Amino acid sequence: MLLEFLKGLAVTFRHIFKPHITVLYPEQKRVDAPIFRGKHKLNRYADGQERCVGCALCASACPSEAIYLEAAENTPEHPVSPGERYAELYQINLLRCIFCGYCEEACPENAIVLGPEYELAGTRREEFVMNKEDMLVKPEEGFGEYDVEAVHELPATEGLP
Amino acid sequence: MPDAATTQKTSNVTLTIDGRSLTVPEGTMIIEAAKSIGIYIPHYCYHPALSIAGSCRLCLVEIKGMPKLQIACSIPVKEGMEVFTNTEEVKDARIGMMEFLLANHPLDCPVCDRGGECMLQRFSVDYGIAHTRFMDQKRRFRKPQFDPLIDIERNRCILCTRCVRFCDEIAGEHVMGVFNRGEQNYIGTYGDGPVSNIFSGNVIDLCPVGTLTSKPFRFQARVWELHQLQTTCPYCASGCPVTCWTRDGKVCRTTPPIRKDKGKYVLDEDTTEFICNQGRFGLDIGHHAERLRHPIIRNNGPDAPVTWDEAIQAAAQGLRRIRNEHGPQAVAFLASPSATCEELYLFQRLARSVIGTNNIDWRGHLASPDIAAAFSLAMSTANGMLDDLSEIECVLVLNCDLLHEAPVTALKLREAARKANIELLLLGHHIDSWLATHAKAYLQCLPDQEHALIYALDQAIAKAEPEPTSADVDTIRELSGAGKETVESLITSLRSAGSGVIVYGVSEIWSHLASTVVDDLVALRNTLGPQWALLPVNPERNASGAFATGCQSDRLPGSGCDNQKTWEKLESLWGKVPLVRAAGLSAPDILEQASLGEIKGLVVLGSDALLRHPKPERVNQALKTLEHLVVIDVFPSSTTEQAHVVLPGALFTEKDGTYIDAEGRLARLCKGDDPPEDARDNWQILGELAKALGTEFPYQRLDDVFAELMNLLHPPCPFTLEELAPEGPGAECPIRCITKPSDRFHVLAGKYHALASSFRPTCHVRFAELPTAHAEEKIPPTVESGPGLILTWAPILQGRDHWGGRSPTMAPLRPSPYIEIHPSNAKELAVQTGDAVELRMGELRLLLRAIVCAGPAPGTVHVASNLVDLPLGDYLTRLPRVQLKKVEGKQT
Amino acid sequence: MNCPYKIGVGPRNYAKLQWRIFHTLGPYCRGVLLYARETMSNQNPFKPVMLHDVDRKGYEPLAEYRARGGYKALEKVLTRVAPDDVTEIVKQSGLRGRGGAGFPAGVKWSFLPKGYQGPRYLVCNADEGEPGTCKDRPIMEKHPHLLLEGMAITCYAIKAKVAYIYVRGEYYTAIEVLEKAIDEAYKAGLLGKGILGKEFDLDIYVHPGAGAYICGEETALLDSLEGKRGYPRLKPPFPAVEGLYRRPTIINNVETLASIPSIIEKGPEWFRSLGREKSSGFKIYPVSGHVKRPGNYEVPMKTTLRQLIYDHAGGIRNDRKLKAIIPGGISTQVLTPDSLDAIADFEGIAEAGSLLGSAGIIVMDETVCMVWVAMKLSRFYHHESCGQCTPCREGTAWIRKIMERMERGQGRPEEIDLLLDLCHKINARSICPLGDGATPCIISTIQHFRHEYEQHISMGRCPFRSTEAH
Repeated sequence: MLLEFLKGLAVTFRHIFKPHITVLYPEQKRVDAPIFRGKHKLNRYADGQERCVGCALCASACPSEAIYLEAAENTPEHPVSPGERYAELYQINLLRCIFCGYCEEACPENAIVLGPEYELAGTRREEFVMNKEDMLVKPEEGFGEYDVEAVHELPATEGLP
Repeated sequence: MPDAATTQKTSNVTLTIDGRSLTVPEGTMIIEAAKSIGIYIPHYCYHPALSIAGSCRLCLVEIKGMPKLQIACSIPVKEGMEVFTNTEEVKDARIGMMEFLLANHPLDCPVCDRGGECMLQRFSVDYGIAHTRFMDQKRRFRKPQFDPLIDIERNRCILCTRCVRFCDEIAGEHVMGVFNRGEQNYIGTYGDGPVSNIFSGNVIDLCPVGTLTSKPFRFQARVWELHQLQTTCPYCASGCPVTCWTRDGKVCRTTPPIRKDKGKYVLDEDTTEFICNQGRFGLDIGHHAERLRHPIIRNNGPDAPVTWDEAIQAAAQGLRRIRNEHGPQAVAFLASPSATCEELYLFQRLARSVIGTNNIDWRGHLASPDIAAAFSLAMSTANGMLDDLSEIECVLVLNCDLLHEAPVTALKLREAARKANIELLLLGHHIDSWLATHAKAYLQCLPDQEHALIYALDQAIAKAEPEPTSADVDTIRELSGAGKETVESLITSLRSAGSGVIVYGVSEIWSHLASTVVDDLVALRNTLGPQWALLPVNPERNASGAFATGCQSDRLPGSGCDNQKTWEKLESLWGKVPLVRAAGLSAPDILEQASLGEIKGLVVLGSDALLRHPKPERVNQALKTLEHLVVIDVFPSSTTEQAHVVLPGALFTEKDGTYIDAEGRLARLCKGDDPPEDARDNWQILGELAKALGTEFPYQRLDDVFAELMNLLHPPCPFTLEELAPEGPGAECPIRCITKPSDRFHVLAGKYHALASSFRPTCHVRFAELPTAHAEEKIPPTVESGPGLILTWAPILQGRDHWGGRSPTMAPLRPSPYIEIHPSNAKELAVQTGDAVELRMGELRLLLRAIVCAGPAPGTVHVASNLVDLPLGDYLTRLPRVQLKKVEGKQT
Repeated sequence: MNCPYKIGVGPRNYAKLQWRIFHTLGPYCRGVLLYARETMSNQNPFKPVMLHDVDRKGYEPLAEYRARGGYKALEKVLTRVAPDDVTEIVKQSGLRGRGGAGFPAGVKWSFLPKGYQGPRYLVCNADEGEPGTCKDRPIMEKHPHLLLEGMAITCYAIKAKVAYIYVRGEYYTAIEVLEKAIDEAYKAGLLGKGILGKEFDLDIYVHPGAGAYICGEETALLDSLEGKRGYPRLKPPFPAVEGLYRRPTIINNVETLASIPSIIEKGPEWFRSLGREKSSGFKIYPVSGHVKRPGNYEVPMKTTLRQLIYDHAGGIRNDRKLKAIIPGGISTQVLTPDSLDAIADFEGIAEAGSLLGSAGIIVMDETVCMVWVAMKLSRFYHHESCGQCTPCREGTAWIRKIMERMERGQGRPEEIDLLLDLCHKINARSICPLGDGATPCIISTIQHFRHEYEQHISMGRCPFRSTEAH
């Protein structure tokens, strides 16, 4: 019986000297994987225009119906995005979101990506409904791998009305 | 379209398609034959209602014995033909066509409003290639703006010319066309003007791609996010079924009924049911800022918060007091012909069994009891239907500007006449110039000669001789000023037609002539034979319903007031209380008695009829005299301002119910949203009012009301309310909303049990009690003497109305006040269409836009009464004469 | 006697249009617009019928035409031959349509619905738009009465009372001459009511086109004549059943109609003897391009291509080597010198792998870049496609874009096969033959001269750029 007891302790002692898997969060932060799916980001073009055109494909791809958006038409004076359409209201309910990344897959403009941020605690339910301002990348943060100029309206073909 | 009717009595042809044998009538195109056995041949330019263009080349099929592939849309079937729709060569051709169509396509599906229901997307799934071989610069057009309702994006166009053909053939206006040549072809309108006809919105549905899209719907939602509400249009008596596409309860767009495709409800690009712009764009008034949202008690002040209980008690108390002090005959009820049948039924029950009066009517827009009597006669003799035009040989339209009163009925008639299925004849002082282009003959006369003309026609037809006698023809020619051949061909058509319908507009019959004209029409119908029917067209949506539900002083549900059996039946149904059987007052009399102080309490259900009264000051004066006025309405009006209690009701998208159209078809209205804020469904308001008055209605659900009503109608309707619901609110379509969680409940609550897709029950309600010929007593007509032109008038669908006039989309599109002038008079005045004309009537001066058309008879001019401010109420016994003068240098 | 629906463009505007045609088609057109100075070589015993005295100044007036036996044939049929017998004579002669398709004229006439009581029409297709073809123009400009006589006989045969001549808008001389000739004929009682005192009425109207190639297609021509946009119609119904104003209509080429008086006069056997079994009679061959004497040559249909090019047209310019021949207007396949001995009739050219079409022979010498030729022709088809149906509208534009890059040397190797695939997808799938006509030049140049395409791609430029032809 003692033998069994010692055997069990041996396992314990062996593990005492192995390196730790856990980290001391929040003092220490884990390095996440490059494809980590955290809080959503909405990308911009290098000239600051939003990539999102409000096509709502993310909303239809979302399995938990967490995305709601309303589109509107750009005015030539203050275009929000290249082209005619932009997302006037873009909301993601993080309480519903399961971080599957389907929205990122569905996006035809590479506008929505799931970023590395995972610290998503809050005290009220309303805090978890993210608006466009919460997700759009700040101009000082750069544009990541999508750092290109927006493709604006092409000129009309010569001779056409 | 497989026009069985045009190719009279065709023989059948047997052929095989993909190895399956089938038999179809001769003359059917392969594409339709294949459709009949469930083989769908992809196509863009082919549309069953339009002529064949054959330009998209996507419907190519292989036919045994033919060297080339043939297009299935233009090759009629032949005996023993073998068609293959799915061979390698056919697939290769379709892949090729798709590649060509997509070569210059901008591929902007994410921003395109057509995304999700685009035919390019649909066929790309089957025949598209994944990569592009087109390496050069794509063709790009600039974006023009030419129509306030239709957005055009030429880069997406595949030049199927459906829009061009629709405008040319069905809307009858050569306004769109293909411009330029070859690759640079584009769709546009002549002179870059708008597509101005009333059916223009249909080109949006017809467009198989995203070239023509709806401006009001632009970027409102993606189509797959929308909830489809199968309902009926509330605006005119054509009674079109429509689908409202709603998002969070808000109507985003309205289309003709949708079809089921692979388990989903989608827009039907190949639909042959077209709707007018008023129905398509005018249904967006549900969330209007002016809506009545809270009950109001006038004594408390308009902004004072009032609970429903207080309001109902206040309303009931006033009525009870008047009933107790002055007897039930001092209370009257006025309903709106836009209310549903159930509401109208409850309303008249409220009047008859709760208050105990027969002072109930829906005809608040009529100025005199004479006209009301004519209306009763017209409605009770109505037995015509235009449902199946292939069984009708001839349609006689009298005095009805159908295009402006019931556009889709007009469209149906014109299509049938264009395809020579029916003979269309027009008659009267104001004919529909749009229909006249396809009419076989038309006769015009002065407004005071109408009954004489109908009488003369009657006499000419009644004669036994095979040829009309010259004396009769001369009489008619004298009255109408038409040529001998026209008159003869009209008489011959009427006599030779085996069956027919006489359509007449009741809004253009004036007081002193009204009964005479209807009498004469009944006599003419009797002369023509039992296969002929009468169809009066009211501009109001549910006038037939109001008549059928007994919401009229001389009517009971399902029969006239003189039917003792119905009284007994009602007494037993309504709790064995003896009902007052004394005759009630009609609407003109109610107003008259109210201004005399005899009627002291009035309940108004929807004030739109009163607002159409030709003498508004008389209505106001009557309402002002009342001691107690209760108004149930959705929008504020001059009536609600006078009301002591205002109870906010529900609009058409917020309630269930049924409407009956001019032809007697019962249509279901479906609920897709809740009334805003405190507003309530009308039938519940009526129930509470009855309860407060001491009699509780025994209905648990609206279906109970419907069932009871239908039991009283003849013929009894075999369906329940639930069964009448047209197929398909989007059960499969999940509702997405996280901002307004409460909305989820409404939409789910408004979801109905769907029936089998092919089954859409219809039920006709008709009360044809045909009297025999009437006495030939003619009242001498009166027209104001003196020089000038005779003025006639009628309301139009797009006028300034209580509901329709409020649509933010349609309001800017309302026609500017116009005056129709016959070309012969226009020539004398040197006026052309578009000129500004000054109208002088007594002291009055009015600037109007001239429209030169064949509509009004020579010597008369016509105005839309709900577009202009003319004191027409003063001219109810004699028609006014007006002077016209062209105003130089002004184009309106 | 003008057509009430005439949409005329004033003659002064034609100069501009003509300049555009020159500009578009390059040197190939220049030769063909000249008249043949020396139309017949000595070896040919055939006396020209339609190009008789073609180098005269001005047109042949009525008096002169009648003096040499004109309108005799009309008189003959009106007095002695029944309408159906005229059709029978034409059928026996084996006259095939000269417009391009080569459909037997008599057979076409007999397609008219029997016993139809309403009006029927004859339309003369004088919208000679095919590049490389100019055979109708001398007939109309020099011998308008020959055409009018042929039309009158045809109208008599098909019982039509109204005929239209749809003339290419750029042929303003022809329009003027025809109008004058029609006036002369009316005055002489050869048109109008009771022609030559017989029970036969005929009105002929001239309608100028407005410069669209597609309006040479018979149904597009009818649409244009009706005042609509010139879009080809779907067939069936064929024009013989439902044509102009939805009435039975016969459409024939100028040359076909101008051949008819001589058939009536000299008999169908004489006509048959001039050609081979299936292609009888004589024909005008417009020879253009790098030949010494470009022009129209009217010869019996037994003639070979070699005779036409080397004997009649005098051989290749500067005695260079022959490289390619387009035998029947640009809608036909390019032939190589191997086919020189082919007989230039419908069957002979078909055996050689091309089509006789309108017989407009375009000759190219060794200095010509075939990719450049194909590019020029693809430009033409892109410009002239009406845009009604998908494959032609999008396909011709696509081909043009590829060909323009190809000629600049910016093509890709896989695009040669892409071109063939595009041609395959246009062929036989468009509404009218324009789509089918746009592809042979591409297919045959790739077939015979693929190495030139490859050379363009590998060199990155046109290897012929400095040669004289460019």
